[in-house]
Amino acid sequence: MEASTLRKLIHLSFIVALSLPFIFPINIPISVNKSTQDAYNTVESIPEGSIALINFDFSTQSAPEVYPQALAFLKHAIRRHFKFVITTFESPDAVLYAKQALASVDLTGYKYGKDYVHLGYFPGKETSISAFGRDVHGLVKTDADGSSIVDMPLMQQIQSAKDISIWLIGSYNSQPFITQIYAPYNAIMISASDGSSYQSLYTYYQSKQLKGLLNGARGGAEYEGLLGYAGQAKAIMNVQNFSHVFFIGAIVIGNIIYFRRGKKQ
Amino acid sequence: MNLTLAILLEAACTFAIWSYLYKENPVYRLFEYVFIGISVGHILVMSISSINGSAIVPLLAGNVLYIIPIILGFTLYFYFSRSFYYLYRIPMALLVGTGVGLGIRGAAHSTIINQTIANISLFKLGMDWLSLLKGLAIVVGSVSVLYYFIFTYYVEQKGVIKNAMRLPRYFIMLTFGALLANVVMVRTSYLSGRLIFLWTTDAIYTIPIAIAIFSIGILYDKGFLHIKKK
Amino acid sequence: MSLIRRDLPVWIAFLVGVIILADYVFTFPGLQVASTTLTNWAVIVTAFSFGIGALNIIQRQSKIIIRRDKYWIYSVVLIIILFGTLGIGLVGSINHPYYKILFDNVMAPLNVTMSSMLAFFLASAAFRVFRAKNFESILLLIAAVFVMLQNAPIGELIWPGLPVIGDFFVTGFAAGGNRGIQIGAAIASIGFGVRILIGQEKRWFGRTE
Repeated sequence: MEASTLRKLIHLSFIVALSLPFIFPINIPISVNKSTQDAYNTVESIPEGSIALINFDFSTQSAPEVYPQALAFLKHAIRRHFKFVITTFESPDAVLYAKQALASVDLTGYKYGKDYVHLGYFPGKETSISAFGRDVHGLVKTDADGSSIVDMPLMQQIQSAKDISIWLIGSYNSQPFITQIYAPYNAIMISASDGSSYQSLYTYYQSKQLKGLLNGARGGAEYEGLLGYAGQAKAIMNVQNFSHVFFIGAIVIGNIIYFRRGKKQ
Repeated sequence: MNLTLAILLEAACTFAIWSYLYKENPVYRLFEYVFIGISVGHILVMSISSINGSAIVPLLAGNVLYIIPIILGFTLYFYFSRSFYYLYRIPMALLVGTGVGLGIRGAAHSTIINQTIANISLFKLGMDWLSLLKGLAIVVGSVSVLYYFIFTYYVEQKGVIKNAMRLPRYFIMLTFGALLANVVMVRTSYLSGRLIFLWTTDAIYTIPIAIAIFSIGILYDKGFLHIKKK
Repeated sequence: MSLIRRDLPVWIAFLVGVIILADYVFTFPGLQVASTTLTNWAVIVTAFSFGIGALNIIQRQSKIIIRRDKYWIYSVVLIIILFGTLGIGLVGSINHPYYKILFDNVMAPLNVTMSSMLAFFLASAAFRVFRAKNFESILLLIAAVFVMLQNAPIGELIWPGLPVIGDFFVTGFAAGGNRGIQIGAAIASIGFGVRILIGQEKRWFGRTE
């Protein structure tokens, strides 16, 4: 069989395999990882009414994986009655996702400017995170819609990183926060991740610079389970069962064929 | 059935990109260029909004010092000049100096010092055997991989050390294996997001239409649908 | 003239870097103000830098259209869409319904679908390329399989010990390897940063005269 034909057949069988959970739905319970449980417990340990910073920092590319995690952080912050500010320091796409998240949650009892503020996008990643941590009002003059923050009661309480009780980082890579916020201010931070950055961020969790860490879509599904709802991350994990079995099967079958051809020769 | 323009657009974008899996084609190319156009437009909108919020608003409020970063920002555009290209280096120097300063601070404190302290404090009295094994794996792995990267580049190892250099290679292979598994999870998550949209919303009605269009396209490409000239 | 072309940028980078580093070590009010101001200015200048990429794209696509090169009609579409998005975003703001359609229903699905293509290529690579040819590749594949079974809930259903083994690969072996890589990269980045500050590394200058 031609290589290109084989490749196309594999692609077709892959998409068929991943469509099976929608035709034959299965619902396998997900156990909770220690790093996810630590993230949840850390948020639970912060007193109600504290000020939280929720960071939405992912592009449209990684939104399917990171957005459910950031949304879970937002829901947990509201459940704990935290006052919160929402920021974006790297991907401007996340500003619109943050607006979408705010529109999807129940903000009863929350007043804009007094209990929550959406600050918008500050380019520069590490540079803007450092500037924000040092002097919030030196960097931030307006919110995401261009309104002045000077008269907002919540923003009058936040002058620097020291005024924020917990950092909920809904970003695909929270390393700039660790280097620019944890190191100087010893901040309490929990982080989302996309699966490929989980490994490198795990060393920071292990060294207790991060108090909790979610492992991509799996971590998002675990966190949703702890909060008591099944969101997009749980739906993704149902598909992951089939995709991972497909990959393992492809590796095994491919190697069996390879070794059998080698023996024949 | 409620096939709104939004759902139709989203489904069309998804199928157009997936058509590349068969072969590059004009439809895929068109949507690729559309994506680049929207992305660039979007980032320009967000940057202008950021400049307005961070610099223009305080400048108009009376803080005249903000004219300096605005002038430096416009100086960046000498990048396109042949005669005055060197002026572009001045705002770049600000960016490079800031980046390097912040980077060195972060690397030294968070990564080198804190990670080394974490390695030392891995072992405690009374820890269970699994944690002990993990701790040993982390310490041996980190020290051997660090030695491998720093000392094998300039100096060729010989004898016992050369054989011992296999250990960090094994750790690196295990690291990359775990990374491969996580990359598989990430990329299939992105694909799952698209499938969830197609299967659980009204976009499900576009699936048979897409299959029909793909089939016609494949048959045409293979030559089965060409009209024979007399 | 080489003072402005070469020496001045190096001195500016050196001074800015030293002020920010010194602020981390010493606590003088003047130093803190200088460091904070420079960092805030850098954020503003970064926002201007995105325009360079955009202008570059517009310049290149315009040349393609003027010369009627291959696929020039796509370049016309790109330019129209670019300015259309910019216009809607600036005149109507990012909350405008048309901007939301462009972002939610065109840009986002295009970006995600392009990224998801790698899943297909990984699937065909898993069948055709991932071969257990030597001990090191066997280690890589074993780690990959166990971590995949740890990530997917089905692994726990097959045998409860599978996620435990997968977790050991991630939190033991891979954590050790990653830590070594990170510390090595941090040391290298400090060395590279110092080279930039003292003017030994000038690649950030761009074009040389």
